[in-house]
Amino acid sequence: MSERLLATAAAFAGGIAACAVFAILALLLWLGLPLWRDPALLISLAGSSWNPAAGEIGLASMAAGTLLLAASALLLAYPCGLLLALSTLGLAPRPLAAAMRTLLALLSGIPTVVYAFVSVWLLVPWLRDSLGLGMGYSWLAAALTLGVMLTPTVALLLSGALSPTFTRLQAAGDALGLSRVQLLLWVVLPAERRALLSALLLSSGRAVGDTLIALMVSGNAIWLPANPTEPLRTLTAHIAITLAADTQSQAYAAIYAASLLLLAYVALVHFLTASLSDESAHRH
Amino acid sequence: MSAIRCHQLSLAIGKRQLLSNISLELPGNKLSVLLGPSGSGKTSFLRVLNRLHDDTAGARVSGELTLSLSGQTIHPYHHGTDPVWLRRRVGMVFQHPNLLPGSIGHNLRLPVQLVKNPPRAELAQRIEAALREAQLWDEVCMRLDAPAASLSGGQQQRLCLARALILQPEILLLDEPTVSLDTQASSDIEALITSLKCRYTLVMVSHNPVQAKRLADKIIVFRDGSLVDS
Repeated sequence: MSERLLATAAAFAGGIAACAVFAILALLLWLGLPLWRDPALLISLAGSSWNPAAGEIGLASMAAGTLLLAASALLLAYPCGLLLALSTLGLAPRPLAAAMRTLLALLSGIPTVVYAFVSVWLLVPWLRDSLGLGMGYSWLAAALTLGVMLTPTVALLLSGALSPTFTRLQAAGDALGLSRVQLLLWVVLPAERRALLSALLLSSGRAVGDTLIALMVSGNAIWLPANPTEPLRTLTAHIAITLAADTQSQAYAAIYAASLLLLAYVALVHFLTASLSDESAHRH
Repeated sequence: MSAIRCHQLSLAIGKRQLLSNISLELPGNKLSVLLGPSGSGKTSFLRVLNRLHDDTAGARVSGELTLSLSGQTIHPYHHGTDPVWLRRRVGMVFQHPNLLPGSIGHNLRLPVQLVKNPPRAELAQRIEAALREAQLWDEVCMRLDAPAASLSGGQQQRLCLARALILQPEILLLDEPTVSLDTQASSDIEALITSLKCRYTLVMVSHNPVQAKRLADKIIVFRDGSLVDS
């Protein structure tokens, strides 16, 4: 009886979540109607020029900025997160591993705005004054901040994904005389390739969706940066900036297109992750 | 000649005493069977021999334990003894087949490459020799790339035995290796163990007195973490 009740409650909750996603999608499509009805504006969306007064509302440079920032942040966060996850699983001595797990859980709970705030006061001035990298507000500053912010999340995600396999194989590895490093690097990681990729995809969703770090640290210039010391603007930061200053113009209408792009990316990540999980479950 | 000696050996995990003052000697190149009811301390004793309790939180081993390996007397719990080094010489097969993910060949290739790193040409020979020693070669020689999980329970257990043998241990610990198998697979493993006992020091856990009498050169009986008879 209680199992049926739980199953019904789970199905109900799942139905509400699915309805909410479709409602968001429908709302964005409906609110953006003026945009979808104007072919010139629609074509303009695909461009990189942002000049609403001239009818140019190109999102390309911001979409590229979003991907550049997410990719560069993950370049820092993923290897660091993987190393930390392996340390908590067995590379580090047991007391240190326990302390690291607590610290990672604590760090992953710190609000994004705190990372951005600390970066504005410490990292940006250091890049500007000590290294002489322009104004300091840049792709590099945002990537470093986002990378540091993502690292504990990536570490916990990977630790959770690798832990069951590690626990299952630990006795066999020990009995074979494999060191902890050998077991993790040569047995557990190859066996969990799909989980590693799933964690990367999920983390990329988090990186793409971040708003505050991009808004406060990246410099928000609407162009495609030539190198990491130049500023960039992400879609999320663009939505936040536009919402704060406008409610009627074509520029405002373009945020629906930006939101749909983000939603499409998150949906793509979700389907890729789900298909990887299905394949993995089928394999086991 | 004794391959394993212990004197007043005890094991506690937290406040729970699992083994109390075990003193015994186990002969080299013979099969010693540890017999006793469930929870009597047989497996705990076996795992003390290759320090598998090291990672158990709160585990404390006291007393004396010496192993004779390559003609030398080794003290497994002395500070200078590396547990990884020790486990490469004291192999172990568990109650249930504990396969590595991947193919039959991979289950043998990976451990031997990581532990011994033999030349490429020698690797295939070692794999064949280990599978022949575990009496599995004829059954799998044409499908070494097949998933190890596709083997039957008895074949998986023999693969685990081959995987332990390919590392050329001197002592082999067997934790109820036939417990999860049907009658035919059990008798195959028993025959295999009998054939191995002249070349390795074997220590096997069993809860079956008939099996113990059938196979053992020496029987040690445990009850409530203590030695009853040896």
